[in-house]
Amino acid sequence: MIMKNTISKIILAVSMVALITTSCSKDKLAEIYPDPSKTSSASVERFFTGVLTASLDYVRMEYWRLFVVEQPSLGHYTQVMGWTNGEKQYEIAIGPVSDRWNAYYTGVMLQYREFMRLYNELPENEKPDYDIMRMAASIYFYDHSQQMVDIWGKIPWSEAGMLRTNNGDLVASKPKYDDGEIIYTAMLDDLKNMAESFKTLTISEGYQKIFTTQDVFLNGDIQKWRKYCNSLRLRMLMRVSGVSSFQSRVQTEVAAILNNPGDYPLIETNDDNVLRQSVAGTYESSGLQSAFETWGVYDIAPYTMVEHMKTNGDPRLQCIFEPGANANGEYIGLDPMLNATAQGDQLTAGIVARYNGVTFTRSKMYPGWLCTAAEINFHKAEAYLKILNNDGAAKTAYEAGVKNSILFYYWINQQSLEGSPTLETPSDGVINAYLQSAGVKWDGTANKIKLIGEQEWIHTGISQMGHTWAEIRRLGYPELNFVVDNQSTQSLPPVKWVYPSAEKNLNGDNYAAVSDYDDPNKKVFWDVN
Amino acid sequence: MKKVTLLLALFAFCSWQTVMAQKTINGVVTDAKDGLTIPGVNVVVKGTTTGTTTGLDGGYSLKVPANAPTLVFSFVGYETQEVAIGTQTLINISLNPTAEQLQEVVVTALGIKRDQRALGYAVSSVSAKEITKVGTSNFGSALYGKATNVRISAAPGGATSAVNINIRGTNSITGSSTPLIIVDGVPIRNGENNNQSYWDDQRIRGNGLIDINPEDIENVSILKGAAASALYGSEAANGVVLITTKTGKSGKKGLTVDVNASYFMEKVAYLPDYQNDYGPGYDRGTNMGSFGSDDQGWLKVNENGTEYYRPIYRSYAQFGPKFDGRDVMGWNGEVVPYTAKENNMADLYQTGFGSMINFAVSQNSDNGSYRFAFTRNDDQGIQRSNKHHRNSFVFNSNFKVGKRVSMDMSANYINQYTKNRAYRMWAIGANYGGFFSRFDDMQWYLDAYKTSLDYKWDRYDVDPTKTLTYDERLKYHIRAYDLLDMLWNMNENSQEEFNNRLLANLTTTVDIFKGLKFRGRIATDYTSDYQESRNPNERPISLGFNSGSFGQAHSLYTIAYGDALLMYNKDITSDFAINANLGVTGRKEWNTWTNRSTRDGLSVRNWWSLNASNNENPYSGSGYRELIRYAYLGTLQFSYKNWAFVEVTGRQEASSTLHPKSNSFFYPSFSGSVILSDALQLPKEINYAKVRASYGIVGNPPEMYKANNAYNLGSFLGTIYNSVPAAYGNDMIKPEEKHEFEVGLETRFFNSRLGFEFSFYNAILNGQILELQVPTSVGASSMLANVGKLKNQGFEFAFWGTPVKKTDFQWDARFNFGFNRNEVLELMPGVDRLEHYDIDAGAAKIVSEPGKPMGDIICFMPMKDPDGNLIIENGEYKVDFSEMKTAGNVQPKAVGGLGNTLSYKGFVLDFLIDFRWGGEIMSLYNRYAEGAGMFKSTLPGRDADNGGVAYYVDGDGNKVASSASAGPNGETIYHDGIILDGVKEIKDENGTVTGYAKNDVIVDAATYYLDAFTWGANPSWGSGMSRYDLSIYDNSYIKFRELSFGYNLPKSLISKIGLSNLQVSLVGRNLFYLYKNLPNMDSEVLLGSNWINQGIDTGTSTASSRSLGITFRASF
Repeated sequence: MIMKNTISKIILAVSMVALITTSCSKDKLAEIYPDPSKTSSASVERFFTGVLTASLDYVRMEYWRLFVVEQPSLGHYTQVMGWTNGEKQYEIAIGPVSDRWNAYYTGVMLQYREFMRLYNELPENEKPDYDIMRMAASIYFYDHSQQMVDIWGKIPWSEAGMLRTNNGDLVASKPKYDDGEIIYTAMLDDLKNMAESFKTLTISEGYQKIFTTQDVFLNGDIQKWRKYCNSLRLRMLMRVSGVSSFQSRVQTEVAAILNNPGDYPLIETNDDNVLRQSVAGTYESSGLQSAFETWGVYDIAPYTMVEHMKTNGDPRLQCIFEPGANANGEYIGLDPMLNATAQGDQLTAGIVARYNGVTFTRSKMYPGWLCTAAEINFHKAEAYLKILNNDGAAKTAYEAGVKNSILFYYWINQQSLEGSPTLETPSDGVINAYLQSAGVKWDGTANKIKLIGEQEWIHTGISQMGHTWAEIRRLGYPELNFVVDNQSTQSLPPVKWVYPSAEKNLNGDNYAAVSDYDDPNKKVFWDVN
Repeated sequence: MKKVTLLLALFAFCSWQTVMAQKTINGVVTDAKDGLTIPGVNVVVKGTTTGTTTGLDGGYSLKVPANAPTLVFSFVGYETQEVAIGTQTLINISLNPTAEQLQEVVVTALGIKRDQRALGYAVSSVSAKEITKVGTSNFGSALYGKATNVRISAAPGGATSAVNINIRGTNSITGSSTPLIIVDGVPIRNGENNNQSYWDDQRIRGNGLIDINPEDIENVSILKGAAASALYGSEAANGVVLITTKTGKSGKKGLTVDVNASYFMEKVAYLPDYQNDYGPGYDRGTNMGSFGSDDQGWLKVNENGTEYYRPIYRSYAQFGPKFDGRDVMGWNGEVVPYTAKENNMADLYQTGFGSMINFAVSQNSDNGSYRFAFTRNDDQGIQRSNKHHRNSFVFNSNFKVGKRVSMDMSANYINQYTKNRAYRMWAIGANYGGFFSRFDDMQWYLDAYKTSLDYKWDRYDVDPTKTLTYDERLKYHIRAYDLLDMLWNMNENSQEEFNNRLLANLTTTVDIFKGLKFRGRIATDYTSDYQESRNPNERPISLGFNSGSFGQAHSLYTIAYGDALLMYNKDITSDFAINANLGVTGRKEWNTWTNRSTRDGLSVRNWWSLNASNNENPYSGSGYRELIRYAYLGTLQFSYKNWAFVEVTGRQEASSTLHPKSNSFFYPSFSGSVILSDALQLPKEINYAKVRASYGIVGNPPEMYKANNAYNLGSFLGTIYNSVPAAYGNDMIKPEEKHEFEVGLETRFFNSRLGFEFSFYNAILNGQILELQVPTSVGASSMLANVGKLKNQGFEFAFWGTPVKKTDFQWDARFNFGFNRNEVLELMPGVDRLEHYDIDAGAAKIVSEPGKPMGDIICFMPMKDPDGNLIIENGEYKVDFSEMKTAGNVQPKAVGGLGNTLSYKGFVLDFLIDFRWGGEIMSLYNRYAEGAGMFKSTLPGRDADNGGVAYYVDGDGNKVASSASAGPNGETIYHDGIILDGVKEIKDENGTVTGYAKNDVIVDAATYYLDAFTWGANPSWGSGMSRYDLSIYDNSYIKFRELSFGYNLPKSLISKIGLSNLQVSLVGRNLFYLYKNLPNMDSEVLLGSNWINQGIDTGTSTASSRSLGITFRASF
């Protein structure tokens, strides 16, 4: 009897333990099916911030963007940095190309599509409250989209990013490639509509509060978004200003923007710059330092730019560069026309200038640039010059561009958290003297496009290498020399990037339509120069 | 009586000897049927623990108390016999084989022990002896060649690297091919490993199975087919490995003490066949044009008024000046002779070692048994700074509570310390930035990678204001900066892992009434892991450099398991029996982790604290994962006259990794067997013959949370935001299902001197789950989908025999062979082919297409004329870039092994050869190194001695063949011309090809190798002549895997010191290849558990090692 009892106790005990571990109801399984680190709820305003924080790696000066993707390619094509010549140096590395592509499509494109899906699902009467968010998100998305078109010419766009919207239907979601003209047109149309909407936009205090909270770029300042919107329009209009099919549009819209500054305000002073700023202590950037210093020396000053700055007494020289340690204070850029051994000797001797350690390399506060006053002033100068035939206004804008650029670089220098002493802002006298120097002076210079091209190049330089490259290709200035690499079929820098291989293979039918165009020596549509 | 040695004093309690009057009994034990002697027979004085075993000659000698009445002779497979001693001192007896001598008990699903003859499916069983024979530190690598159609792949890197087991080919396109590992009935943590690309984790990781100490394993059973593993349902598609650990019951009655020890030396093996003739430099055009060298590749340097030569140190290629011993200015700043350093690669490694000591005590009695064992392993790999040790404690007991209840308890505690796991070598294997020349002495790099102030090396062009040791900077722009970085990372950075794991298991069995048993089991596999990384400051803080880091990571991984089973056995009639089981099983797995590390460098040099973080917000992360699976299961078996068997099983399972609407699945199996040798009257030479057949369904579920589509929630500078993950899930995903049909035949002949086993199987694998790569332009990086259907079909053949069996000499041989053929049957709509791996930006790919086996290697092929001759353009290959064609397939066709044991008196020689037949590999390591002119295979054509064609370059730049000593205008004659075999196109004035002529255009050797083997293949880049098909190799091999030569010391000798057995062996592992096709590297150094990674050598693996050692095995 005692034995029976023991047995039944043991059976009972073991069964209970076994049942506890296995007695998981269906409910329990359902409860732990979702990933605990994710959420199933989302709101339009939170997704708005999701759009603004997407693809930030290509806004800020991040290590991968610089070291892997842009410096070895765009950095060489634009000569905004010095480099040692090597074998096959102009061939496009497909890995970095893919990284840039994927950062756009699985970044801002993906987030924007989901944001728009949620926005479109809002009841009609609520949509107006979120209009400002839709517009701001679109402006940010178009800025990135323009950069993509400027690199590749034709990209999947109107049908791209729809897998989620199509509930996972892969076949239906494979997008066609759109011509650059089509994309520019669509963006210009929408930006124009927004520019009109801004005129009458009203927003209740409650929604303004939400917008202010969620707008991590411009802190809910609607006027700044409005300026960004119009500036983006001007930038795009100037990009296509040489394309015949855009002629009338460029004429009309540029005139409308420049003649009605009240209706179409632009970014004209550094206060309105659209930047992704660092925040001391919490959101600092060490991307430049990593890119320049981690794997050796990549902060070499380029020859042609340093020469231009030296020759004309550019106040930015000491702010952007610093002399080599053994150069006795002389600024010497690394000449790309020397052979690698001779370049190596110069570098070994320690006489080659570097990017300024305080402004760039060691600054924790170097901002990511989206749109700056200097750039927009240069576009204005070109527009007045070529389209509105107003040389006086062109000169004013040009000089404002140069001045804003100088002040902006000094401001960046002064933001640096690097311990070394920062530089004092140059006086108006110094700036004016520079504006009168032979290579910069507006009056009396025949080739004013060259002036604008060179100034844009110095200004956007390494900070917006995509724009720098686009404007060099479009304007044809500055004129840069490259050694010809006879060991490679790509003997000089390309004028466009090739498509990532995954895209070719996995969306083959649509790729086939553009495969002829997939050639690094075929131009982007606005590159009519 | 003072014969006890010092060692034995420790364990004296187990070797007491009486001082009573004794006498010695001698004799020989033979087989009653064939008269041959039987070694290993237990001879015990009845009722005592006094006993011995017979030697190889069947003889024994035993001291017994004068009044001892009876001797008991027992041996597995024979009837135990008792003999009254009386006054005899010579007792020769013969033992009768037991009627059930052919019955072997095997462990099957859920730990149910079954008679082998009753099984309708194949089970491969490997014994303890086989596993510990050559002293491997894990049981996985001990299985090489021993189980039919089971392929082992051990990652290089030593004792801490993962070992992967692959059963009957690749069963899942996902890449998960690792079987479920069950220890004493309980699933344990194993896991995928090393599938990352070279941008990710640089260390070679381990997996869960290597923690299990081979010395504690009694037996490994491998359930291959779906019917065998159907009771494990959704986790068994890749097969199941069942491990039974040793218990007190395994040994003989009474107390046993075993002491085993081994010591190994590890030497780097299979290094490439380097050329030792030429130093750094590119082709002549580049050397002169881009670097300003002379036509031999020399640069002149002036050092303090003296002129020296130096080669182009920046070159990754080795087509520079020939080694001639002249004085050159080295990149380390010293004048050194220009010679090849033939051991520079070997010097990167060190001699490693491994040692093991194991001590086990077990006791077995009628009321219970226990076994306690402790094992200590120490290892140091061939990579510098690597260290590992493991303490393994096992306690295992069985006791009876009354007559009907028995309890089994086991606990295995494993404590491990690992420092600096082997590093992947991608920096020097697959990266032009790490290629070093044969001219370079490894010591130069070892001296250069850190400065005298223990900071990281400085480049030649370092800014003088950014270093404290400007004088120590590299003298020139060299190539292998990445080697310097790798040496820094390997030797200065430290990553320590402290790992504690507990496997515990409590099983209760209750005899409820005759024939009905209840068995309940609870178990856990608990792992606690702490990792600490200490990366010292690389550059001085005082100069404004933020570097160095300190990080801590904790993780806990727990599996809780329980099952309850009612087991019923009943003979319904004398001929007809029934066996049924009914039960429930459940498992919960959860994993939590937290990690923190400093951000933006250490504020105080080498201060190992999170407080040293320069940024006040250190990196931190944490996570939680949970998984539950449970199932109801039942089995029902009928047997007729113990020669016909039929079995049905079923498992109804539910899992949390699937959407709640469709998370429940049923997995059935049917099997049967007939023992022909009992059912029919067969010739007497056939001792045993069985036919069997089975059919079953098993599954393979998606990974945790992969299916779930949800949003990320983040915070950006305090603002909460939502975003969509780039990986698109799929709530409607179904588990993969494997339907497998199998037939087999098992036989034994000639008194079991010979036997073979044959199986044929056909498996259809439905609903393959893949994180399908999609073009990112659709707005996702991947999507989870049931992409297609596969088939695996094959046969297995195992053969064993004893060709020679003499009194003193015996030869046993075992051979097995498994052949598998895989085919993709269909893919989902919209997917024409799956692209698993993109090699070098679309130069080649690994793909799967319907109608072909998974894993075709495709690439652009050279153009051919209509007669099949290669077309040569401008002296180099012309590649057809219009489409990619299949150039190979990564699936091995067959695997197998041959084992032999030769014993002569006390000597035993045992060796194992294993092989892999078929299956191609894309070897990028070979490719890049050939393109860089590093291997002997790139010597042809370089000079007159190597068949180079003599030529001069005329004024138009054409290379003109010439046998004169100078060209017509005094041009230099070079001897490095190559005329490729093939034809050149003849074109008319419009450029249309009108015909072909034999190629006679000369290309210089350097240009040929640089172009044909360069990274990438694309007509619009410089790699338009690049031929990836030349880098695909058949990866068949035959390897002399294991050798052991042992000696069992004579009983007469060792019994005097109280030992019952003492064996000393010299052993070797991974010894040499009898055949291999892949040049310059070990055929097996591939990394990654994923089948795709087994088809491509990305050059990231480290070298493998050869082990030589000695083992001791002693029993008291």
